Parts: sequence; structure tokens; C-alpha cells
Amino acid sequence: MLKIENLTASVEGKQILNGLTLEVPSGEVHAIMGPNGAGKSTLSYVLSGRDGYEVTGGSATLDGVDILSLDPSERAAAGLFLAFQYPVEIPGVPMTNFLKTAVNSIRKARGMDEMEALDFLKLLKSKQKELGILDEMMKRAVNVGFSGGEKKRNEVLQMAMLEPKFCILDETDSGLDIDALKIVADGVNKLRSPERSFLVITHYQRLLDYIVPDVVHILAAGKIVKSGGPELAKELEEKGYAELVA
Amino acid sequence: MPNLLPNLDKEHWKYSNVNAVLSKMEVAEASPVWEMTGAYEFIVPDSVCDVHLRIPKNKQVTAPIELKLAGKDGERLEARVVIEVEEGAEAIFIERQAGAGAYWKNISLSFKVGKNARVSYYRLCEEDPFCVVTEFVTADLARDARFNLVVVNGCSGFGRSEFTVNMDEAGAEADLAGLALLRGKQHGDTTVCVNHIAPHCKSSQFFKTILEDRSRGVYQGKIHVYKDAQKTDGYQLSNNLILSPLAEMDVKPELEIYADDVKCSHGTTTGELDETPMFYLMSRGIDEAAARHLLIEAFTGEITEKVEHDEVRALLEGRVKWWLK
Repeated sequence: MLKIENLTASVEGKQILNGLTLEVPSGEVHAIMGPNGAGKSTLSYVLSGRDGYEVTGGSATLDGVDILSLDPSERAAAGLFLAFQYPVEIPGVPMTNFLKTAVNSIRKARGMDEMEALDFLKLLKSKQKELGILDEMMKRAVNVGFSGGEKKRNEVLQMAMLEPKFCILDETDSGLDIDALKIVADGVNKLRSPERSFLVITHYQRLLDYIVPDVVHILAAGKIVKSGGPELAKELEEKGYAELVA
Repeated sequence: MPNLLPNLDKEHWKYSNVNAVLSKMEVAEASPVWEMTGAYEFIVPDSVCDVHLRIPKNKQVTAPIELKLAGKDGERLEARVVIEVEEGAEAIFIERQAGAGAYWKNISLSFKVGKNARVSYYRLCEEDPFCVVTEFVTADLARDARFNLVVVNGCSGFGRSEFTVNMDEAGAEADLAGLALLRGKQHGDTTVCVNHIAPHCKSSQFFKTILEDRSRGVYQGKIHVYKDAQKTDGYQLSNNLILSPLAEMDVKPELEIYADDVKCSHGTTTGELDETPMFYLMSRGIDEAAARHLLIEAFTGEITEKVEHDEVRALLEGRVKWWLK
């Protein structure tokens, strides 16, 4: 589904991605691990189209569509979703209003009708329940007053509501305790399907005990240096990056 | 026309060259005619002021009292309004400025808030960008008085709103907030001075301006704490959103403190829409125009949500929605 070929990208004039090649077929969960500064977050921002991240070479396609030529909202319409590492607080924009606008924007871009208000609320309530998110949280502004764990659960809620094809989880586990981690992992696992793929970016092997990947890649100095099965993550935890990356 | 208002060399007028604007206008003095709703029983006959209202001791006026002044092309309106709210009384006032064409309204509005009285004052402008409106609002607060104001400004071609609040006696509280919506070549100046004369008083200033096109905004916010005003709690914040490269905003927060046991803070931010929330919204499929609209509406919401009275809040929010379209 996602095909990245020889991608080079720079941030503030400094080249971070140095010829990254990666393919994630439909229905698979691929994990990306790597030391700090390797380019993990850069990869997720380049794929989702953030300003300030300049692609200097290579390509990235989603089911054949060149996503690098699209703006962030178009990429979302094409089926891409990024679960942020640090979800930003947006005071004054109510959660429910934001979710409904997002859902309907994507539906419109796909040539569908907008969702009826009652249908939307029903869908939202059911997804909320699955993730243990209280109604009270939905009345607040986007991410305002949410704890770290609540923010990450909110990212998974948005994924459940928007039904993207390709989900990038950018260090979704950072800052979470085991209980919060289990809830988030549960939510993600419920979304696994043959028509959906995940790119799980993580610094810690622990998350991969709960979201078991099909393939593990090691990203170092801006490119994929090693790929393997889930055992690679355990090997990495035992030996550390230095030995495996050398 | 002789210079009737201070020149640029006066420090707190240096960002607003009102005399230059007035010198280009041809206006003749006319009598201001205020339309009032809900004020009949409180009118005090006055030979000097156009409007003089007095809310008697302990009277609780639940319905907002509306004061509307319409201007006509070619007029120069010198308006004087005095509102006294006696001890223990409570009232809500809405000032609506309307009109069409090029005129100059020079308004003096003075509140005297008695001991333990509560006043909420809201201002809405619905005018053309061809007029000049200079308004000087003063409020004198007695012991334990409460004075809130929320204004939505920015329809005139040149507007200067000056708010001077005098915390004359202990325990008084003032909460001032406002939004200025500027576009085209409009000039909107909000100048606030809160004088903490007595101790144990609390004040807050929270003003926002949105600027499009080649508009020019000014915010001068001063907290002046007098020598005996110990235990003063003063807060001042100015957030300004610039939506075009040719717009300009001048901000001057000022603290002048002579007491030594006070808590005062001041802050200001001026810039474009934040990139991170924009990216977050767009990454969820919301296109750029819709994302900007959501964020700008959120920006104004922090001010309009301070209006406690539902109908008045709806009125102010309606004006903001109209401007945002």
C-alpha cells in the first residue's frame, strides 16, 4: 500500500532522511525503531506533509497515488492518518465540532454525503465507549486539559472515526503508563484489517508486545539499515542500537 | 477645523493621528439623538448631558438597558452620557453605535459605580468604515463595586476607544475585555488605563485584535498602582492575530507601580495563525480555508464567552460571525 523509494528530506537546511526505502503492504503492521535523531519523526512529518520539511529526492506513493504532491488535508482524504507524538491543544475549538468537521470533510472529498448529526453522535458514542472516553471529555476543546494518556486515546478515537487506510503512529507510547498503553494498543488492534496498514514508530520495544508487528525496521542516520520479524525488536532491546546499527 | 484632540506628540496618542483624519472631513455639529430601551424610569433631566441615568440604591435591573446612537453623513456629534449606579444596585448596559456615511462621533461616557454595586457594560458597533468614532469611557468604582465590560469594536474607519477605570475604594473589581475586528484601511485604537488608587482591588484587561488587509491596530494597556494600593491584583493580556502582510499592530503594555506588595502581570502576543494547530486540523482532512476559519473563530470565542447574559452574548457573537464570513 505504501511505497517509499529513496526518500531524501531536510529540515531547516539539514538533511535528515538519506535515501529511505520502505514498502508496507495492505493489512500489515510495520514497526520502525531507531536511536534519537535517526529521522523517525521526520519521516512521519514528511509523509503527512508538514511545512518546513522539504523533500529533496525520491518518492512516496499510497496505493499508487503520489502523496508528496498533496497538501495535508488532501493526504488525509487519500486515506493517510498521523497519530501525533505530542497532540497539540487547540483552545476554543470544541472536540465534537472538530470531529464532525473532519469526518464530513473526508466524506466530501471521497464523494460521499455528509453524515447526519444523529448518526454521527451514535458512531462517536460507540467508539468513545470502546476506548473508555467519557462524554465530559468530548465537551472540552481539542486536547485542552487532557492528560498525556487521554491525548493519545483521543488520537486513536480520531482514527476510529475517520477510518483511514494508512495509519502512522508517531511514538504513541511515549509518556504512557502500562494501563494507558494497553487501552491505546487495544484500540489500535481493533482497527487492524486486511484493507488497513500501520506504521508504528517507537523508541521502546514494550509497545510491540501489545501491538505485535509483522515486520520490524531499524532506522538509523536517515535510512532503513535492517529489517526483520518481531524478534528483531527483542534482539534490539537486548543488544542496543550501537551493535545492530554498526 | 482646529485640532480638537491631542496631537501625535502626546505620548499616548502617537499611534493614532486622529487630527489628520478629521482634517480631511467636512462635518457640521448636530445634536446626538440617543434611542434608549428599558431606561425610561432611570432618566435624570440634565442640561449638560444628552443622557443621564441613575439606577437607585439596591435596584436590580434584570433586562439590559440599551443605548443606541445613529450617525448621519456630514454630522459631528458631541455626545455626553453619565450613568450612576447607586449602592447595591445591579444593571446591564448595551451601547450600540450605528450609522452610515462619513461622520464624527466624539463620545464621553462616564460610569459612577456605587458601593457594592454591579455594572456590566457591553458595546457593539455596526457602522461604515467612513466614520470616525472617538469614545472616552471612564468608570469610578466605589468600595466593593464590580464593573465588567466586553466590547466588539472595529467598524469605523478610524476608531479610538479609551477606557479609564478608577478603583477609588478598596475591594473593587474590574474585568475589561474586547475584540477589535479590522480590515481594509481601518484604524482601531484601544487605550486602557486602570488606576489602582485604593488597596485590595482587582483588575483584568484582556483585549484581542484581528487585522486583515492594510488595517492598523493599536493597544495601549496600562496598570497604574498608586502608593497606597497594597495587595493590588492586576492582570493585562493582549493577543493579536495578523492575517495579512500589510497589516500592522502596535502594542504598548505599561505597568507603573508605586506600592510594594502587589501582584501584576502583563503580556502580549502578536502573530499569524499558529502552524501546529493548522497542521493538526488539516491532517484530519479539514481544508486550509476551513481550518483557518475554525482557528479564527476560536480566537474570538475567548472574548465573547465572557458575556454572561445569553442574549447579549448572542448579539456580539452574531456580529463576529458576520464579520468572519
